[in-house]
Amino acid sequence: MDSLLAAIRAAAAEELSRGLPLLSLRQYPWGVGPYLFRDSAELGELRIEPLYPVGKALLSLVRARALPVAVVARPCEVRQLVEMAKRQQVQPADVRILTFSCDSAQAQVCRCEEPGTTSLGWPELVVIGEESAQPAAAAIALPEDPAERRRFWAAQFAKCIKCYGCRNVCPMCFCEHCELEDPLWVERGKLLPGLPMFHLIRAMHMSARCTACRQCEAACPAHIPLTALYDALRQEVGSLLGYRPGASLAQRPPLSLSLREAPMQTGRH
Amino acid sequence: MRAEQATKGFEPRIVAFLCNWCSYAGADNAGVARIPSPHNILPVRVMCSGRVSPEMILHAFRRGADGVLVLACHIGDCHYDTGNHRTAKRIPIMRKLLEAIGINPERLELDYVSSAEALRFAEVTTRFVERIRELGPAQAELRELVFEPAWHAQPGSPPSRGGS
Ligand code: SF4
Ligand code: SF4
Repeated sequence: MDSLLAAIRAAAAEELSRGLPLLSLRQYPWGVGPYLFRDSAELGELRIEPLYPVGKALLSLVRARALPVAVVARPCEVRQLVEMAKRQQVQPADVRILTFSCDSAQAQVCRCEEPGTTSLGWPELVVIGEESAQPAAAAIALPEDPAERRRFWAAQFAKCIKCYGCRNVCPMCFCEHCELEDPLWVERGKLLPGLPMFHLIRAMHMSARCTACRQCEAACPAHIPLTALYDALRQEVGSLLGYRPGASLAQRPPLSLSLREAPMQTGRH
Repeated sequence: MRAEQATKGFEPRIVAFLCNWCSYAGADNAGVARIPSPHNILPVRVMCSGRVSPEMILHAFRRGADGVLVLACHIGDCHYDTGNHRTAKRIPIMRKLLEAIGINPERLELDYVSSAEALRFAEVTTRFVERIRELGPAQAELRELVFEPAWHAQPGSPPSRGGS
């Protein structure tokens, strides 16, 4: 880990010397938080842990027009940037990525299927260190019996305090107008609503976007295994449309394309 | 067992999203031609089946639909060229969502009916109503999905519809 950190700092120093500010985590006296490095003297305080929503931090830089930048990102975060770029949130030319493979322990924590740095389709990408991680199984097994599944989700969703943390942290949630804020679909000021509209709408919207970074679960104060639901839809999008979010910059989001542009693999019509 | 109980006197309520350019006209023509079609259908006219968002489908279930039917133009015949292509992709994913939370995905169906296919409209809707009649009321499933703390339920009161 230390050698990896040293290598990242060295690569970061190189970016800074080329005049690119660098987004990563920094050790402050009171803790660790995102920081835009401009001075290589500060790089001793650069950290790569814990995980944080890189995409969201980058979006604030985009909105502040503080580009181009270099950014230290993990493989899942690179995949997110790929998805964001396809949806015009960021221009690939503006962002240079320093990436590194997560380790097996991290992959276990994240239930990550793709902790490695191979097949990341970003034009300006520097890979640091070795690829070492064993992928983990993504799925939290949902109960077999539908009635059990209903009770499982009922108990999980009942814990939701509607803090919108899962949406706010998600780098794939960048819409100006959010359907989750429309009182027609999601009631305001009401917990234990009838059908868990909030969660079902969010799951649908994530189906061809979620890159399984698990940031939403990490942010959720109620420890709801949200991505167990998103994973099921992600797999469906994979088998139905052959689409894996973040896999390639060239493959456009299938749900907003016609059947001619993005055909279905298993047609039902 | 539940289906048996439920079918007794159970009339499914079906929300059908009908495209202005095809299935709505198809339904109209079925009426004009006096082809009997089930009265269980509550038609909602939309300008394109592509407009039918997941929110609208969920809302229909939340407000008491036992099944939701989306009737689009045949692929290739969309008034807006490819609006129904989006529907064709969205509905299978939506069915997967229903399945993942334990709602029978058969309660949601996509089919294709042109404006000339009055007979087909009657067939498709009749078949769907029969299917939902078999499955029983959706509220039996939806109610389980809604966590109701003991202090919410009042003795003897009917189970809540879910949502307000
Ligand atoms: S895992 Fe959660 S936070 Fe990450 S992309 Fe998916 S929905 Fe968004
Ligand atoms: S972060 Fe958790 S508690 Fe907050 S809105 Fe999302 S699911 Fe609900």
